Amino acid sequence: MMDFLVFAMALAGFNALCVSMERHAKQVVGHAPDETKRRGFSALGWALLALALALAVYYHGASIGTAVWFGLMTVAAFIVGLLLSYRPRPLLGLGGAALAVALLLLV
Amino acid sequence: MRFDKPRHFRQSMSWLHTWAGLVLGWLLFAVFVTGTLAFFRNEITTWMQPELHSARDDGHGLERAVAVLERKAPDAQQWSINLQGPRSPVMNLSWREAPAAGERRSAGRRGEEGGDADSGLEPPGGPAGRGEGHRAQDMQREGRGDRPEGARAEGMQREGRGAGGRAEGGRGEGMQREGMRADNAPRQEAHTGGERGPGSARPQRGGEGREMAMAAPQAEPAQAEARQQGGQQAQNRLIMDPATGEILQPRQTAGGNFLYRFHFELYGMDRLTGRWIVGIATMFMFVAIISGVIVHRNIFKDFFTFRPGKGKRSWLDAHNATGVLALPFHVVITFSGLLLLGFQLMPAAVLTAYDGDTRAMAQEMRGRGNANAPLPRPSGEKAALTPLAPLVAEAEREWPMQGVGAITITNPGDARATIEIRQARTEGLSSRGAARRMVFDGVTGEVLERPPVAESSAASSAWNLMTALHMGRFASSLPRWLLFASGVLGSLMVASGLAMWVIARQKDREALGRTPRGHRLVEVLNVAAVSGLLIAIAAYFWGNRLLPADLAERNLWEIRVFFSVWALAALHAIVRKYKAAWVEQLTLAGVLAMLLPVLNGASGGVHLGHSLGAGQLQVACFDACALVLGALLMFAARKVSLHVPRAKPGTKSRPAGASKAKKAEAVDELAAGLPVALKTEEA
Repeated sequence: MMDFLVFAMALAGFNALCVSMERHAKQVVGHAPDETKRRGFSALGWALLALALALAVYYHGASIGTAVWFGLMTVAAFIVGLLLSYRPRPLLGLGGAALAVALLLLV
Repeated sequence: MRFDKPRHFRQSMSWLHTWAGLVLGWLLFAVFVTGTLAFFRNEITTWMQPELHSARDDGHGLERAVAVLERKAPDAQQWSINLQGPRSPVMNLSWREAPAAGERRSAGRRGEEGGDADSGLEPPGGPAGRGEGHRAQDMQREGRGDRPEGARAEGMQREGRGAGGRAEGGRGEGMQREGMRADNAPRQEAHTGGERGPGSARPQRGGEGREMAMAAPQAEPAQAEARQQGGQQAQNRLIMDPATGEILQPRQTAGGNFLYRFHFELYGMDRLTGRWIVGIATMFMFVAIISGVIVHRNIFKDFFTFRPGKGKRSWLDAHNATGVLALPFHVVITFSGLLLLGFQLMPAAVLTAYDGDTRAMAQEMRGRGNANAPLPRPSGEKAALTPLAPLVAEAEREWPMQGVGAITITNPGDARATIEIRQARTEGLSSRGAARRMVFDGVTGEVLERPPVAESSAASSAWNLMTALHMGRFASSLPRWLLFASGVLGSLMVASGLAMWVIARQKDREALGRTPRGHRLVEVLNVAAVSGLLIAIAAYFWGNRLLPADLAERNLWEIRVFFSVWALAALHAIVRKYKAAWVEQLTLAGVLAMLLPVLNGASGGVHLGHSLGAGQLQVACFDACALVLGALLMFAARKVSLHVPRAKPGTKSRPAGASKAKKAEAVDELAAGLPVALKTEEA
């Protein structure tokens, strides 16, 4: 469960980072969001990844936690990359859902 | 690239990346694939011994284990029970007969020797020099592999050769003896065969240091040797179904350990040579990673970028994505791989400080000075052994996260019996060898002591961390799966890099009007190394089930199947055209892999429908993985077969645009590709 939480956070984080990039934002939402929005997404993305790391370390200890975090990040980023290439539209929804799940689990 | 002109840094790096990657890429692919599978070598071995599939845990295994041991080894000096767990469905029992006076001390030594195998501390000449048997046996002996914890008990279990065991003959002789191994093999088998049916490697539950009791085949040659050497202590092992108490006799198999061994010392050559080759390849890998990062430029900007259907561009994207997304894995696994081989590649420290005695160093590193301490003497008074289950429950309360891995009972049935319970795993990765223990009075069940765990130094913590990461020595299975996923990405990275070398030179070939010999060589090697290897691995699993279960030297035959099929695949790659070879081999590999679950059900294993329901996850996961990976291979084969060679001049490059257009194009391409592909096939 804890791991799933970390994973959901990483997934949401990468989604946010992905949308924060102009080129990918166009793929996902059809148009490029303005600068401030993209900044916001970027900050949100990094914050989520950092939070995921903190949680992973909290649950697993420093050594295993970091390893798990990197591994989950790889998988999450891979999923985002695949979706972006073949089915970019639902990405934003997925990111939102992942974030919601993560917040739910956190509470 | 010419060397007489100055180049930009990035160009030089690009050159370096291309050629460093190409030259050892084929080998690296094999190392990556077999190494990735080796994360699950225990599970693979379990799958390859269908006799064990139906073992269950009903929570009363301990009583049955004690009953079995009381029946089989009433006079033993020590019993060891390795519990079933998430990585093994069975209990492993072993015992050590009471020794003749004066022989007590020889035990620990051997344990240490075994422990080195995994950490790269194994003396290079050692295993070869022992001339103890052929490679396959060596592989099976891998049970001695990761045993972070409890050197003492291991040492004891591992007894069997005593003083004669440490072949000092070592280095120089390794090569010469190599040739004799094959001849030795049958003799060894004959010696050990009748004892308890087909021997079997049960190297399971690696990672967490519980493998020790499982090196059955290793034990047997060792035993045979011990007898030859004048009857030293015998050791005995049994594999028990925890739910029934039945003693299982699994088939002999090279198991997951063959793949594990292959990934760092290859096969059919001296181990020393194999390790050197893999070590050099690993260095090239490291060079390729660093130069690749430099060449890539836009790691962050292109982080999520994959543009399908664009020929060379797509391949580069795929290569970059698989490289970058799993970059932490690639760096860590390569660096730690180098560390693990480091004592071989850079032996200066061991040579000077320890006079070349790697074992002495290993012992000091792990702080196991007392591994040779003698066992307590029995009192001679009989007394009933206290039930184990409450003690285990108490230990589990104390270590809820780590769980109980193994139980060692010294002087069972004696008034002075002691029971040592050891953690299944340690808390973090940096504390290898620091499993906590609890020692109980064997009659009253009181806790006698909780031996403190030695703090490891910063250097050995770092070493432990790296090696534990490399070997996936984690408590839970999730990190191992993550490593596995990253390993798959890594394999894809190497394979895509290899494929790209050919694709990137398409224009040269078109300009030239033919395929130069060098290109053809790369083509053949690409197919043989990538899809050929995958076929060979699938065939290895098929061989495991199709060879008669009681075949002599069965493990060797499995390995022979592996290499013969690989050789055939290479031959096929030579005979067929590049694309046809890819399509046919990928299809074959996919079919073979996808049918593995069927084969499993049909040849004595627990089939997927049943294993999922019954919670036989080790077996179920193997089958499920085979299905998924097989399907992916089939998909890849289809993609290749549909591939249309780069658009000829005339059909202009497609407008890079919105995703919808891309999708439509992809569909067009699929639709248009089939007839074209067929035509090219016919041509």
